[in-house]
Amino acid sequence: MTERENNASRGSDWRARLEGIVPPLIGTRKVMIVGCGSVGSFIAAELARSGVRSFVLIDPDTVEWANLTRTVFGHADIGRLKVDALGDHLKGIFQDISVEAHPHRIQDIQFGPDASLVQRVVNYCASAGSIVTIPTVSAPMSLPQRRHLEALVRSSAGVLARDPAAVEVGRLLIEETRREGGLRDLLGQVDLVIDAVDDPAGRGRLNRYAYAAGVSAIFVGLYVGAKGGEVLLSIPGISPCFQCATGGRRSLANLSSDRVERTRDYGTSRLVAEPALGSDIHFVCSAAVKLALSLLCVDDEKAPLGSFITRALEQRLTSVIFGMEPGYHVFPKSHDGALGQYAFQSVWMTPTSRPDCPVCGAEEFRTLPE
Amino acid sequence: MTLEDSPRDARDRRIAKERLPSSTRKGRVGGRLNFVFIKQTQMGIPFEITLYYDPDEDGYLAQLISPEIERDWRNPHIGHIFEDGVICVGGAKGRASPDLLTAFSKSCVWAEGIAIMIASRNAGRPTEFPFSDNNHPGEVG
Repeated sequence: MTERENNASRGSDWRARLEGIVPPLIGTRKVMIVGCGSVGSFIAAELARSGVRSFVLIDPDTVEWANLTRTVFGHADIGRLKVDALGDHLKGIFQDISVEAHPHRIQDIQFGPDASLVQRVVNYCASAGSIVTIPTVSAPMSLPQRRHLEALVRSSAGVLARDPAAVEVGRLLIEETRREGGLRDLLGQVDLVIDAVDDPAGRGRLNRYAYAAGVSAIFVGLYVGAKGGEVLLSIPGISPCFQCATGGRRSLANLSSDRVERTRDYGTSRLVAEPALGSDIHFVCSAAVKLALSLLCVDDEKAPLGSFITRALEQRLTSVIFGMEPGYHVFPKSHDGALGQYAFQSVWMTPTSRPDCPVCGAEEFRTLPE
Repeated sequence: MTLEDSPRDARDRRIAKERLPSSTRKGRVGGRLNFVFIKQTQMGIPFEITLYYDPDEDGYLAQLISPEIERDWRNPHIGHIFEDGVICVGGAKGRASPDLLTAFSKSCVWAEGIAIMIASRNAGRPTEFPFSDNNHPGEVG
């Protein structure tokens, strides 16, 4: 599609305020937004205004009144799925924006054949001794799917029992392998992932799968009361994964008496939503947007925006923390002696991979998605 | 997916050999090394539990194989077990324990606790999980 056709639904001067800063190729990029709340919805809207035309949105939740104080949603969106409301909001900015909406938790989107399902097979057929056979189901399967399934079952040798229940589970396995639109497919379609979830388990899964798929990801996090926050880059082969990058943040905890990590719910370990200024949240989000745009156009040598990220990467600076309050966290120490300090400071860090990290550590420790 | 031991697997096998019950079975499921053991509780109820490393949670999960726990109790604030059979061994930081031995020991404590609940229910008395301050208020039937 030509540039002219691309812009058919937009006014001829729609790029007037981006010219020379954001290159046109941004319109060919596709971004996955995981979590469409105060962080994700803001970032998605900003990326759309900057020229990104294609989005994959993932979030199981619906819009509540409490969301209106710091998201892009309005009262008419109450009760709607966030992915639908955000999709409409983005199309309200530019009507040609395409959105693929998935109202699910990231954990509920299968990567490929479902390893946890295999785990359940074992739990169900626990008595060790024999090998379950693949049931002869006349379901059409591709050869790679079949081989993968066979490999899964073979790997369970000695643990699975020959049990009628296993046949039923085997049928379920086949259904799983036939499911389309898994996370692997979705990750294969996008240029960048923005993680804005409040669920550490989902974040861990996304971290591993995006890294294994070779897709760059930006993880955005807020500290207690949004008095601070962080943006972590995970670029496979170049920077550590999210889990390792957070090691830098944890090492700073010894330098400060401020509690930065938000409270988690005991049962789900999800971060508990708490009062915070939307402007503080979006301060951190704005940094993530600029990093995202820079990453998305890093291939265009003529685009100065791309050099924003390349210069950071040259110094191996892939993690940044922010403070919104005076005297917050490590900033009195990190900025000690600097003139004119009050609030809105940042410190960039160089995280390293943990050798035994299952995502980005030494090859022998990596655990690839099944 | 590899069927060969990674350094982590080798380390876990060594720990399992030295510290887990000698009857512990080992096997791979979907590439993951599982350690399956039976915990005989003081209440006389045996629990079969599998331990494995979960890379998504970057820690060790303990998952119940048997007996089946009644649906209403499959709640981290009631029976301290999730819907998928994963036992709460990570506290507020998540579902996973940082190492195999912690997952093992906490799952054994959990088994003792849930066994007391089962025994109380079998005796027709209301009950609650005895070893946690994260229970939902009130006893369950």
